[in-house]
Amino acid sequence: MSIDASISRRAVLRTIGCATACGAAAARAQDYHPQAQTLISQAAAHYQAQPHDDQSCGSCPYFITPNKCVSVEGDISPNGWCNMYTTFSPLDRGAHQAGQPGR
Amino acid sequence: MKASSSLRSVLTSLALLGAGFAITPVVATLPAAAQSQGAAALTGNVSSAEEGKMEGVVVSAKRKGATFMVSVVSNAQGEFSFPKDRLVPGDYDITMRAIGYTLPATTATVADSSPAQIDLKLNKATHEQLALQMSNSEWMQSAPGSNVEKTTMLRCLDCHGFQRPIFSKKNADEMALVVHRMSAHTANASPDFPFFLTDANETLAKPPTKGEADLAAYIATINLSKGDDWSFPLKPMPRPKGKATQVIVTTYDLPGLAAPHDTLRDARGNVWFSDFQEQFIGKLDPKTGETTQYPVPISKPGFPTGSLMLTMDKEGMIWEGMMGQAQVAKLDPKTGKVDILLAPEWDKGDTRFTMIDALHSDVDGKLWTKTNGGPDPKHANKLYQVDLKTGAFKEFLPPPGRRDIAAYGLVTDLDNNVYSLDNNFDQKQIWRTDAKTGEVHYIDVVNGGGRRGHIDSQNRLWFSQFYTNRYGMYDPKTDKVTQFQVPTPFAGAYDVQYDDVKYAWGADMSTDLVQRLDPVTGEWTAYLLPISINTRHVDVQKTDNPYGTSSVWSEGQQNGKIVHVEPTTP
Repeated sequence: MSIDASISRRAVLRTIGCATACGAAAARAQDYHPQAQTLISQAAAHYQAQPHDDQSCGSCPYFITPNKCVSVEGDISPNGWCNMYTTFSPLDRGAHQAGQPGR
Repeated sequence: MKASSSLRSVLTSLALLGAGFAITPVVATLPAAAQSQGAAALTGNVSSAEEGKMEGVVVSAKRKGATFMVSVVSNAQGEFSFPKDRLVPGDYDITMRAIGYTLPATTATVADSSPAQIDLKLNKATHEQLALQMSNSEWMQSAPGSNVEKTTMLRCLDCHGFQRPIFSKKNADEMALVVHRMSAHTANASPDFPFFLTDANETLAKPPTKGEADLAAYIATINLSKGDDWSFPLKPMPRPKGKATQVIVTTYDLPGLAAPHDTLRDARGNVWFSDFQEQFIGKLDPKTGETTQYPVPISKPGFPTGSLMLTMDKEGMIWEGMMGQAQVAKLDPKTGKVDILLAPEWDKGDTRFTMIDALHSDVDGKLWTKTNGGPDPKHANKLYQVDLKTGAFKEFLPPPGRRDIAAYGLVTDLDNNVYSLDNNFDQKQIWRTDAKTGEVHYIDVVNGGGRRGHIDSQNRLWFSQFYTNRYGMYDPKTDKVTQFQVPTPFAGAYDVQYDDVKYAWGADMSTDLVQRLDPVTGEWTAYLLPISINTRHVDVQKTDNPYGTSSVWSEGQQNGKIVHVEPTTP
């Protein structure tokens, strides 16, 4: 580690959490839903019906309540998981305001 | 965001009518001409406890409710000044960009009578705030790794910034699946439009390739998979100095989920823009900030929408290549009527239009375009000349044994021959196809191919080299290429255009800088934009510049902005 020792790791994590989860919470699939498009299969997405650690579809911004997904076809459980799982807001494509992730 | 969903519905309805409509924001009118460049509307100083007076701080003023923001940069004495012709009286939010520093919420009131005065005291940013301020280039300059590893990672920027992989906690195996999935997305996919290719399931049924696994392994060495913080120091770039502080930047907000890819200013001062993901041709009135969207009908329901290159012919018609819809769209700005031409293989697989150039179609009545992703994997990329009277497509083929001549960028010369730019690290040539004979002339460029470019009034081709971070200039009179190394590492040079007087202007995908090059002296001036932005195409404004030197338009492809960069001194 070559980071300033005075920096709290917990603070870094807290900020990262804000950069990701807070953004995701502000952008649910039903709010930004893009137009109909080709979806990938559950096998291609490595979908599983169980959570992956503390990650599950219900907290992913691509999840469409109650049981669909923006990108994966078929019924999707809010307790499921696939490797598209993210907490980044889909509305934050990376060109964030300096110090203000998301837009 | 519900408003934007409704907007899409309206667009779909209007597409059937081929009519445009205006989106009228709360407008604060920008005065058209610089009547009083010497007078100031708002002045002040920037300082911090750490540095005292600070040069190179980008200070921005956005009138409450307005859809555009005006930015200036502090000088060596820490002073900044907004010209009176750029800020109308009213209440403004004041923000700033100086990496490593923050500014508490600040407002200012501009009056008609005398200049408002405001002094900005900046606070040192915390480590986590600094991490969120880092540009893509600064991440690559900070992170360990080889040039090849970092250059390979630049591809992420086609769809999103480095914040996603670098803030990720995925290990190499987990990241390999993510990198592999990226190969199943379309070229114009983004996190909010996660379009997939038609063969995505087949692609994802296979394991990651070695190249994908290697990239994932590299990302896992620089992200948060091994700890709560990065294992390397964060290295911000120096702030602007000298000439780079003598500039006004106007940043325009576009509505909805706009993803402008190309911008083009017409003779009336309107700025036209393509949208990488949505199905319309856009127009910005810089005087008011008003935006108009001209819907383009859907030809292939379920296939990706959006467009990449926007071009204008000598009659003022606007043309776009409509990506996954495999259409060429033509807009008559006078009537708002949109016509569609379909690619010969429009209904086959993932055939898509990317580039189209009608700038010199007055020479022979033809425009150039190309498709990528066609059904024949051995000949997936096709170069076409389109007869504007008949709408007929004529394909041009490479010499026997040579690869497809349709590559990435297309640029027509003054005789309406066409240059093809191939955006690959190892590509050592660009080439020109003769409009009459179809003969292909290959031009050596060492390596780095080319991405986008423009022709100047001397019929010279200016082009960017994304992976090798250079600008090139090819002079057909001498058949020689001159190359200029962009001074900012890992900039991801995307486009460059000469102003036909003195300067070449360039934009890139990584730095939040707009570069100005004097090719005679080799002087570079890098203008820092007020926000993180991922610029692509440049359009040099060669006339109507109040400060007597060229200015440039570009766009924030990943955050829905259009920017105008105006140096205030040559």
